Amino acid sequence: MFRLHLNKYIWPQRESIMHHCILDKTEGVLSHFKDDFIAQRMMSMGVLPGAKVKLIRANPRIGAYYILASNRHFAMRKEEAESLIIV
Amino acid sequence: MTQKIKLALCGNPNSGKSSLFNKITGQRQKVANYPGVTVDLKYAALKLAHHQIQLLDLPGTYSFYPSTQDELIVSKVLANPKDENFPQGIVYICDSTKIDKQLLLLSQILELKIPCILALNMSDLLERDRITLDEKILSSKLDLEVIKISTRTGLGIDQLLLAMDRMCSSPLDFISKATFFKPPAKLIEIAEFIRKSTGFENLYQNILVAHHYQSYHFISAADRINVGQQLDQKKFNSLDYQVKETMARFDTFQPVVREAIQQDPDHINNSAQIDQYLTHPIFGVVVFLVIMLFIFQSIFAWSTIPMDWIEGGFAAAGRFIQSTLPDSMLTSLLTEGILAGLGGVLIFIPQIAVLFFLISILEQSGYMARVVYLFDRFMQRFGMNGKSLLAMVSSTACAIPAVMSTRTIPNWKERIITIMVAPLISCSARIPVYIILIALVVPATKIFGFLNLQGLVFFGLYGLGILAALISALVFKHILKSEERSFLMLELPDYKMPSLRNVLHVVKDKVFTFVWEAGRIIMFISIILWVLSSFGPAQKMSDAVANTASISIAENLSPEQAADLLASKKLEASYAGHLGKFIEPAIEPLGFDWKIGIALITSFAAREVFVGTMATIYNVGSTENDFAIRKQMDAEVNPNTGQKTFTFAVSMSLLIFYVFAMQCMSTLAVVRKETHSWKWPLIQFIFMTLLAYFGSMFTYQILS
Repeated sequence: MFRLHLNKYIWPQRESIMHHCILDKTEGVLSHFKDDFIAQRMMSMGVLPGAKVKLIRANPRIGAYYILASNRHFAMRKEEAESLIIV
Repeated sequence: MTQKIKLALCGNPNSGKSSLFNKITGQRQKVANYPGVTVDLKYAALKLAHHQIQLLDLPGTYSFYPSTQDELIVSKVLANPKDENFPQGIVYICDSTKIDKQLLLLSQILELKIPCILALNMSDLLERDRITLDEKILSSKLDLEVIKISTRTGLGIDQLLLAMDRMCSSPLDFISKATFFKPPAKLIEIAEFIRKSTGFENLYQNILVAHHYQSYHFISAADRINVGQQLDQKKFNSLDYQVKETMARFDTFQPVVREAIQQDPDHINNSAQIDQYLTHPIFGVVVFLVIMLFIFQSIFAWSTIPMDWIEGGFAAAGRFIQSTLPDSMLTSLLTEGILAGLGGVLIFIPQIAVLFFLISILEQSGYMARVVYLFDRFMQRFGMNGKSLLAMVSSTACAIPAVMSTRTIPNWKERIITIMVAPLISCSARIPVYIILIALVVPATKIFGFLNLQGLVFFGLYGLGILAALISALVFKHILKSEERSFLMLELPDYKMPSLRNVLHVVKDKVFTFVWEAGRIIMFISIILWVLSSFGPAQKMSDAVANTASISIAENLSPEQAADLLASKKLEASYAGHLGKFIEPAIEPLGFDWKIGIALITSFAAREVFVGTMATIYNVGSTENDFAIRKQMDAEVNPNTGQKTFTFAVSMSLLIFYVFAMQCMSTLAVVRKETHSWKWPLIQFIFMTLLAYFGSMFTYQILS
C-alpha cells in the first residue's frame, strides 16, 4: 500500500477535484504533500501518505493549526497545513 | 576516560530518553561540549556488572536528516567512527505506544552496523492505550535484542543494564543484519565516489556524507569542495533522496511493526480532551496568562527568603573577615572584590531555580508545546518563533538561560532576533534598582482606592521592556535577510505527569550553567572594579585621606561616620571616580552627574551593583540599609544648581536607562558563545546602549 504512494508526492499537477488541502476539507486520508521539505519533516515524524488526518482547531490570527495525523497531534503553520493534500 | 567503553542513548524527542538517562546515571552526569557548536552532550560514568562505561545522551531526533543544529549532532557523531564521542554501542529508546512512528532513526542507525539494543519505554502504558505488543516478533524481524522497560515504574531497567553489559563483552552479537533500505543505483554510484575521499567502508556512511558534507567538518575542506562539485555534476537532489529513503524505510519496517502490535486504531487518549480547553483561542490564552502571572509571582514570593539568607550570609562573612583579618589591601580584596562578586552571582540562584522548576514542570507535562501552538503566528509577526516566547519567559529571571534556550529554534534568523531582544525583558538584576528609585520619587499613594502607584510604575517598567523587545524585533525582522526556511511542524506530545527527578535535574543543570557562565565573568569584573575603586592617582588618594581626617575631627564624627566618609572620598579620588567624572559630560544631557556615572560603570558586573555603589558614594557603606541610602540620595544637592540631584526627572531618566541598557557582560559573553562571533554581542550592546541613552535623554528633557 505504501509502495503505491511512493511517487505520488510529485504529481500535484494531476490533482483532480477529489484532492483538497486539509484547510478546505477538514478530514480525510493523506494522499501526498505539495512540498518536499514538509514531506521529509512530516514523514520523519511518522506521517505518511495513507495516514488519517483531521484539522481539529485553528487559531490563524495569533497561533497555528492543530492537526491530528496518524493518531498524533501536530502544530503546523498555514503553509505547512496547506501542503497536506487529502482525499 | 578514553579507555572506557562508550555507549550512547538515541531516540526520538519525547521518547523518554532523558528520563532513562537520569534514572540509570543518577547524579553523576557531566556535560561535554561538542567542538565548534554549542550543543551540550551529557555524559555519565556507569558501572555495569563487568564493565565501566561512559554513557552519552545524544539529543532526541526523528532521523539523520534533521532540521536543527542540535539534531544534526547525532549524525555527525554516529557517521564518523573517528569522532571522540563515537559510541561502541547504542541503546535506542522508543515509546512503546508509538512504536510504528519511532523506528525510522533506529533503521538508519542499524545501517551503520553499530551494535544496538532496542528499549521499549513506557511499556506500563500499553494496557491503558489498549495495545498488545509482542517484542519477540520485533526482536527476530529486526535481528536485535528488544527489552520492554518503563522509566516510571522501573520495569525492565535491570534487564537493560545486563544487556548493555553483554553488549560491551561481545559487541559483534549485537550488530543487526536487517536492512531497511536498498539505495537506488545512482545513489550507490555517488556513495562509491565519496568513499574515495572519506575512506569509509560502510555504504550508508558515505550516503550520509553526500547529504551533509557541508557540515561534516571531519572531512577535509578540499574533499568537501570535491564532493560538492561531484554532487552538482550528478545533479544530486538531497531532499528528493531523503524523501525516497524515508518512504522506503517506513515501507520496510511498518509491516514488521504491524505484525508485532495489536492496537485499537480509533483509541484517542485524553490529551485531545484537555486540549479542547488549553488550546482554545480565548480560554487557552487566558490560562497561559494566569500561569505566567503565577510563575512571576512565585519567582518573587518563593525566592525572597533564600535570597535574604544569601545576602545576610555574605554580609556576615564580610564582617567576619574584616574583624578577624588585619585591615589590609588583601582583606579589602577579599571582602569587596571576591566576596562581593560571589554574592552577586549566588543571589540569583533562588530565582533561577524557582523559574526553571516551574518551567520544566510545564515543559515535561507537554504544556509548553501547546504554548508554542497558541502564539506561533503572533511571534512570527515580530520575526520570531513560538518557541521564542519561552525564551522571553526565562528572561524575566535572567537573560543567560534565555539566550541558551534559543538553541531549539531551528531557523537562524528567528533565533538571532530572539537572542537580540531577550535581554530587553526586565531581568531580576534590575529589580533592586527599580525598587530603590521608585521608592525615592514615586509617592506611595493609591489611585482608584486600590492601585498602588509605585506598583503601577514598577509594572509599567516591565511593560516598557516587553514593548521595546517587540519593537526591536520588528526592526531586526526587516533588517536581517535570510533565505533559510522557517517552519513549525511541531509534535504536541501527550500530556503526562512530570517526574520530580527529571525536573530537579533540569533545575540543577540550569543553576550550574548559570553559575559557571555568568559567575566567572561577574567575578572577574568584580575584581577589576575593586581595583578601579580602591586605587587612584597616589597624590589624590592621600589628599582624600588627609581631607577626611581633618573634616572628621572638625565635625566631630563618630568612628563609623568617619569610615563611611573616608570610603566615599576615596571612591571619588579613585580611578573609578575619575572615570565617572570623565563620562560626566556625556551623561549630563540625561541628567546624571559623575556619582551616577560611577554607578553606571560598576553596573557592568551586574546591574544590582548599582545599589551597593550608591551606598558607598553616599557614604552609608557600613549601614547597608536601603532606607539610609534613599535618605542620603534624597538629601543630595547638586552643587551647581543648588537643587536636589535626584529629582523626579533624573530618577525617571535613570529608570529608563536601566530598562534598556545592556549592562551585563555575562549575557554578552553567552551571546558570543551561542552565535560564534563578536558581531552579534557588539550589535546588541550598541543598539541597547543607544536605546538607553536616547530613551533617557528624551525622558529627562521632557520631564525637567
